[in-house]
Amino acid sequence: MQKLLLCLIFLSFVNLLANAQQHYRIKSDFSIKENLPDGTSNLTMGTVYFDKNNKKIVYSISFPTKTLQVLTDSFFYELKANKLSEKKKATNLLQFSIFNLALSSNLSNYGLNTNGIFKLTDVSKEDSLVISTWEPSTAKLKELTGKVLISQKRRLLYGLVFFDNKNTVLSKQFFTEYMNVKGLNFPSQITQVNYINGKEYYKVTTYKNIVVNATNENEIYNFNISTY
Amino acid sequence: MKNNVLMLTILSVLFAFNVNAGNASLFQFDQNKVNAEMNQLSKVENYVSTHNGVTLEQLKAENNDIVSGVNLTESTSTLSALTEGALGIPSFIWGCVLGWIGILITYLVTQDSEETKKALYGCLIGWVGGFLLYIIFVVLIFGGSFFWASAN
Repeated sequence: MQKLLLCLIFLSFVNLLANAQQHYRIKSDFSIKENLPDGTSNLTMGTVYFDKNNKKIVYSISFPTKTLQVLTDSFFYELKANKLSEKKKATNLLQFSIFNLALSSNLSNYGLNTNGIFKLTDVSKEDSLVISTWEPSTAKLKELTGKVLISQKRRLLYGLVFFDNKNTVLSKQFFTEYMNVKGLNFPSQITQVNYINGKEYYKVTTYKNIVVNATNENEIYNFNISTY
Repeated sequence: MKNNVLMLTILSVLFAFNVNAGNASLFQFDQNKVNAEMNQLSKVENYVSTHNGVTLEQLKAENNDIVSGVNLTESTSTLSALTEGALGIPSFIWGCVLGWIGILITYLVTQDSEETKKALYGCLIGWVGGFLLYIIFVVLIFGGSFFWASAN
């Protein structure tokens, strides 16, 4: 009996340690395939680095052209041939990026519980999906935008449906093929369907070779953009 | 009385089921259709994966067949992914679908003049598209009426 008790205490301790592990870095190869309303297509490939503590997402892009893109909590930078080619304001984008949401354990509800724009109004279960309805939090916002539906499958974010204020579907996103890396669940495929003038346009983002909490490559995780 | 209660219960359950069924069906998408649409891009992706460091400019310069069947842009998609404005939806679409309200949402959420400009372009294109559809509609209706009037 005493051994069993000790064993239980040990297992609880191990569990506590596992939960206490903080995910603070993620690196992944990525590809984004997209068809656009003007008839063109886009393929972007490269490697993405995100460090939660440094508050930077660095995209090292190899295709279509060699480019480096850096997103901080307030600006977006683009470097071509080692020179700054673009700088623009980018407020709140890093906070709601999939990398920050995943590392902050907020991906399951897409961070809607933290942004104050939407409030949870309904939760229902159907088949393998738990569907939550998020309505704009104020009457003024309701005039501007519609509800958002979020579905979870096995407690993982599965789908998002965005509506306009007339209850028409604007866009859907599906998060599939989750990988578990060092205890972090991350979708290796995101499929976005945009509805424009009755036609569907797709954007498929794929992540491969996901690395969590790497201790090397500090220079790129904490890319010093101020020198450019 | 018992029958009424039973009927009401069945109706309530059916109503609740229908409401939920509507929501669940929204979370379905045709993966085969997506794969078919992305087929050519996937071929380019596989080629680039196996030819380390190759750029679109190089592929075009050597007239590589792999890019001949697809109209690829030189711009990178992460830029739009990162700055695609409110709720992960491209600003262009906000403007195109919701008009001036879409522009306002983009402005309020992103606070970025470039994104607001994209929403404005989307709005203008949406209006132009709508106007063209209206013209086509009018031509079809009045043209058809004129044809039938002449025929009679």
